[in-house]
Amino acid sequence: MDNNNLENQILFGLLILLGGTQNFKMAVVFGITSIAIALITRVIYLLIKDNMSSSANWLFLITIGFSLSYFLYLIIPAVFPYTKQFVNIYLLLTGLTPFVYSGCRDENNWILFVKNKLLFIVILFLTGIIRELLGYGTIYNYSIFSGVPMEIVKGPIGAFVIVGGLSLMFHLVTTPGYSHQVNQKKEVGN
Amino acid sequence: MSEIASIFWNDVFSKNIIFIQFFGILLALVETNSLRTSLKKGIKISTTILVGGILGWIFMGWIPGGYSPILIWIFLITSLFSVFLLQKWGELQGEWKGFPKYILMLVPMIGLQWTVWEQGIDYAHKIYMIAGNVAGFYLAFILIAAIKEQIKLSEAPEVLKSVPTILIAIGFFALAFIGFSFV
Repeated sequence: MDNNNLENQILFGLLILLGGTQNFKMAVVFGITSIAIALITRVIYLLIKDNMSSSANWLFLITIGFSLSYFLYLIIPAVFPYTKQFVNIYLLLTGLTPFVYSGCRDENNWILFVKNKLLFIVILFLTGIIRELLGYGTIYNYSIFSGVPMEIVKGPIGAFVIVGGLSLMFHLVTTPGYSHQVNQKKEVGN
Repeated sequence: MSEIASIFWNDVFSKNIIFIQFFGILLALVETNSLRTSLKKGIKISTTILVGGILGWIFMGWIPGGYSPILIWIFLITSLFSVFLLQKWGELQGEWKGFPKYILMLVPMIGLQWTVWEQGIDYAHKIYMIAGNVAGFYLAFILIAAIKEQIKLSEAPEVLKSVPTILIAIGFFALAFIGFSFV
């Protein structure tokens, strides 16, 4: 896995990762919605890219992306009433995040598009699972712990620390020669 | 403490637009570099958010019943207009990882306008919410610049001087910010 790509995916969807992962169900709603918006926006981009200038392209795409997220923000709780508790302003703002438009830069490469979105979904779901487990003591509403291990994880602090911690872990695992770097530092320190 | 002062200070700290509500987090991560340059840049960006917020606030009063499908488009247009002014002021020009930089500005601007519209008690209180959020944005922007600078200067291995470390550090600042409650 390319570290740079991982970091990019986290940055592009940072708002979704922070605002849409209070629990696993919320992460699923946000994951499906954001992928749907990204997919539709990419298809529209492929249809219009030759007929508009670059700056007009972006304005048009932003309007499309934002309209889609606003539409889904309204329609999801109406069609699936049980999702009402998971729909918040971050879903409305999903259409303005770079995550939605990152597929519009990779031109015709569908494989890269799918790979990047899957990578993001894995991080999103993992964050949702960890936050729910620590913040509520459950996973998908099934009780795992008798109490709540770390209530603070429910809030913004947990969002930052879990997203940061997860990406740091991926970062360390996938960085070749990390232990070498640490040893070098120790030697310099000595 | 008066009601107005408590609205303002809560928006600066316990409902901070970057640390607690996350709206400006990506913008702050991308646009901050050294603390010295961020002091000036932060003023420009905060002023733009204030302009966009005030424009949105004016329209909130004009639209009968605050009908949201019209308001959301007004928020988008006022945000794009404010970003255009900011670009004329010399900021957010060029691209970031292949995207025009102004995209980063839309989330904090529309997020702020929507939150103020949704949560504002009345028309007058909303302007204090906007002012509090803008002050909170500037404070958090500067703090993120300081965090980034300190991480860069630290003796940690290079692999730890990356975005994840900054996010974890921001998490601890969020903990401090959420502790403030003004009633």
